[in-house]
Amino acid sequence: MTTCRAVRRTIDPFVDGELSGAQRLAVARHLDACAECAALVQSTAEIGDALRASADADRALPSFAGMTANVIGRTRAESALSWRAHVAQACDGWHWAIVGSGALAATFISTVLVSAILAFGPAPEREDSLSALIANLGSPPGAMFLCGAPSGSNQDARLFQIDNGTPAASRMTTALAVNSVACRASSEADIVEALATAVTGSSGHVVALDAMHPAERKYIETLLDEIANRRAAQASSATGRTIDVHDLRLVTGMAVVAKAL
Amino acid sequence: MAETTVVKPIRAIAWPNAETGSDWALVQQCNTGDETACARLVADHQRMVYSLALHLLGDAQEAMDLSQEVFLRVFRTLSQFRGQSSLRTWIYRIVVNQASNRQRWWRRRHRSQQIALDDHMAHHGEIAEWRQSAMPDRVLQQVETKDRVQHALAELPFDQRAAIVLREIDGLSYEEIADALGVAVGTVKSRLARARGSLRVALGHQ
Repeated sequence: MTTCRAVRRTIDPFVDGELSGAQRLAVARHLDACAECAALVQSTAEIGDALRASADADRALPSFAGMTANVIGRTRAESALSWRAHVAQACDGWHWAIVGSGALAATFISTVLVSAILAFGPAPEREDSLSALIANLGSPPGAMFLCGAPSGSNQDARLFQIDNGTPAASRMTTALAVNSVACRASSEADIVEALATAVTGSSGHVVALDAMHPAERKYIETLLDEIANRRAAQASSATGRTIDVHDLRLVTGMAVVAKAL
Repeated sequence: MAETTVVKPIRAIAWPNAETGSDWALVQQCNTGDETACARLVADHQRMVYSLALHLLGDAQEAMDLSQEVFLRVFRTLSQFRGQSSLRTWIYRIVVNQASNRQRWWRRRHRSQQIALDDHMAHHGEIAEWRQSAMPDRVLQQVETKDRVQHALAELPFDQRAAIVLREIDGLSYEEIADALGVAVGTVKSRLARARGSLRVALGHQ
């Protein structure tokens, strides 16, 4: 026995003729016995009748004259449009989607670019890096120093900074001169000992010049100069020849590597 | 025992191109740029398109404009027609989509300009007042019934309205309605049930 509840679920398909033969027969049998469900079917059918009657009342169709010609004319005109017009037309209904996509793409590209710059961009430059070395090579040569003594005098060799051929006092020259004077007050053995102390670290190992503070390196260079000068002086007194200029050196920002004496 | 005989009028479905027997041939001809074939396609379907547009939009001028837009759309996209559904169902689908778009657009643009019916009547008087004095009772009743039905139809949500119009006025099967609306058959059934429920209340068919 088909229940009212089951039948009411199939009233629409029943009225619309969408039920299979067996289902339709079962519903029809129930409707014969159930006035309430039959009334519901009748009501559903009347709704359709009312809609169709309303549509029939609108049967006064307008004249379609000109529609065909108009449609075909516009279609022909559209097919004659350039590809740019086609693109513009296609984009017309999608402009907000395109604007949104553009904004999204711009955000994405910006994020990727910033991430790439952070990940692969130039790191802070190190003094011993290749780029720093190249920069140093490309920079002005630095200060020229001359180590020598007045010709024909017995004075010890002194260090001068040369600027366009003219000795010029500078902070660095002054510091070196002080060291030089200090060196002159000592014997060569004292200077060698001072040099040994200067190049020996607290652990007893020789410290590389690269790892030293620039001021310490300059001090060591001064000691080396002093030792060289004294030996040259000894050599000149032994040979009876006067040596005016002992050496010239160019001090730049590059690392100075000590040479074995 | 209740009288349960339901006589359901079956609307004759005029199959376009019944003489040539093939939508596909007509489509192919249109795709080659044959303007005679294009004209035939428009002539065969213009009443159907206009009628559906009228019932979906409720305005004759809008329906006529929409019909032209539908055929333009048909010719723009005809090369994509693969014959998986009938040409008629395919065109129905375009009508429903275009009507839906147009109604959305209209609602967005003109919502602020809408005037409540009560306000309009307060300012301009009863709309159908002239009819009551000019028409015989029988005709007046028919006109009023038609107005009530159309008002009830217009009050339905667009999806339900499209489903009930395609079923009751255009006589499409559930499967054809599903094709035309791009939804499952189950969705069609539920939309029809809800639409009929609303219409039953609105028209007083308890």
